[in-house]
Amino acid sequence: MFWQLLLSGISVGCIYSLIGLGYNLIYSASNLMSFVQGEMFMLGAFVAYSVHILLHLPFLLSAVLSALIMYFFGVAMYYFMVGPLLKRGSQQIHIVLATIGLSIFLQNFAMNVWGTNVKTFPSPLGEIPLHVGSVTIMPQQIAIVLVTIICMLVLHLFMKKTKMGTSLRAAAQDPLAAGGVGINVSGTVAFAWASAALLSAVAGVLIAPIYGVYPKMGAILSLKGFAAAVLGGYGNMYGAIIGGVIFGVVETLAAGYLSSSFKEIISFGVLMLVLFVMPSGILKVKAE
Amino acid sequence: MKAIMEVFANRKYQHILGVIVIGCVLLFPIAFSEHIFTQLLLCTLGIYMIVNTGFDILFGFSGQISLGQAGFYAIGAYCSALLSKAGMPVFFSMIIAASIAALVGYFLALPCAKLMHHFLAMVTIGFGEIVRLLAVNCGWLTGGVDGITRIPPLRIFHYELTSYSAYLYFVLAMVLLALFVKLRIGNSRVGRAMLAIKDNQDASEAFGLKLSKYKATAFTIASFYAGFGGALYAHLIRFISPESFTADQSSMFLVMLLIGGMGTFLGPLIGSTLMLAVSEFLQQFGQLQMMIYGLLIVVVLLVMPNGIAGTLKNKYYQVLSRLPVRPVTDTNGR
Repeated sequence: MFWQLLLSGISVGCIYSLIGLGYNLIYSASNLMSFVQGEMFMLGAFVAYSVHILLHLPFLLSAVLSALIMYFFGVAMYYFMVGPLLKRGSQQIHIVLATIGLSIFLQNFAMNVWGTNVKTFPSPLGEIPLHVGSVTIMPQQIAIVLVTIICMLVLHLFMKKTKMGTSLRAAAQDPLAAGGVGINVSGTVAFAWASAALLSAVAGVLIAPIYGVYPKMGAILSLKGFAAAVLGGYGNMYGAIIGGVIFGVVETLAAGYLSSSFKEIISFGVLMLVLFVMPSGILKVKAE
Repeated sequence: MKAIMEVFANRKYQHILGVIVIGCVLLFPIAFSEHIFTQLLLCTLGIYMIVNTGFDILFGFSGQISLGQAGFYAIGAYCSALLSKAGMPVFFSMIIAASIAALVGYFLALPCAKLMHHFLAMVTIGFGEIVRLLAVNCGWLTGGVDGITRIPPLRIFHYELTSYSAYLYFVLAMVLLALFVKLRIGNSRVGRAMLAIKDNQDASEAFGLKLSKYKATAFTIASFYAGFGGALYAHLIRFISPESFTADQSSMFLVMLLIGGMGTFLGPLIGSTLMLAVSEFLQQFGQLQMMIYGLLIVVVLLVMPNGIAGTLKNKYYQVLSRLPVRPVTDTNGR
């Protein structure tokens, strides 16, 4: 029982980590909070669903397509909404509110286009569970963990080894100085927002075979992704991973041993408690 | 003429003027309409005004973001409904329910005092969700998803306020009281301290202001307002269920405040009126309603960064600065 719960907790936690990573990217590049991550997640799943089921394209192609489309959506969002707001020197909270507005729009847009009922999305890896001792593992759960690890490695290498990653970190630390040495600051920030959208879309495609696809799927998961990011230490990439997995495991264990109806109460309670004891999350915030 | 302009340029008189304008706006439709739906809508509007006035003390004055106001709103509604069903006179149950909400707000604020921006947002979101989930899951007390029905109506001196028009006058009186209290707080030492903390937290701490004290005070007051609004709502609709207290409701409060203009006297009132009117107007578009609503938020933010009250105020001062009389502002230029 314990190992079973731990395993499904880790796989759910990986999804939270992916969304949390998006929050962290946005925060570390622009010191902002975005409420639209959950909707990116939902839209990513819907795009993949449309391409895969309705147009009968192969799964991998539709997943890549969905990630690309969401990437460009993120770019567009930055240049049409966030960029102008930043340029005019709006307060942080106004940008947050704009993302709330956009997320209301996107959620209802999805309802109008795809309808409100839950769409099933068959797993490309099949539904045959694997048995390891007493533990049952779905192939999709393994895929989630693997893809999450790959995403994180790629992101880590990207941030530390490439020129773009370096300029992104520079722009995050001191936008003025970064601009002075010839870094395209708004370009790097746009890139961070777009990458966050891409990560969310990947998470959406990964979890679609387990929970199905529906317009409200992003709402609660965006909260938990945010919780993961905050729990681990907002702005710290590795924090999001730790935070996401902890959040997923605590939640699943609580649901298994106590009661599934109190699952969310317990997970939010744990989050609040952690924040009260460690106001900056488990790993401290990197940049003030 | 000059004297009249001076009166209009003085902040103190603007507030009184604002109150009179709002009062008239609220009262006119009732005087000429027996339309029950309009009366119900105006009651709801009054309740939103109360909640947002309190929210402005938290957010506009002390600069603390909350995305869980619906949680306090729910506490007020449920406590008052349960207490009055247990036999307590409704007016007292409202006060006690609001006080319970304020107490919860106080205890939430104490550990929150050291949290900034995103972390505070997260805690308040979590708080709002916990309250809602408790209402859903503690069926023996709250009726679960079915909610509480047949909540007793308000009764003042053997006079039952069952009709919406009578209730509206009561709500209106409460709105005016709420505004008056906010005005007094804004001009008091406590209010000034909150504004100072919002402007520069480190500097105010260096000047010896106790951050946690003022932050908790703001939270307590805002929770009292929200709880009282919730109680008013419960006895107006006389049916409550967890559905009315979702995170969407919390962001609605935030949107109302920001669109109206925070830290201003009229902002919460304008914001509540406008957002309620917009969402009622959009009802006719059915499924498209929320889509348009979301888009509208983005557009308004792009066009009017200070909210409507802020923009109007700027325009007002622009006009005034061309006149021979200079506007009378306080030291902060507010």
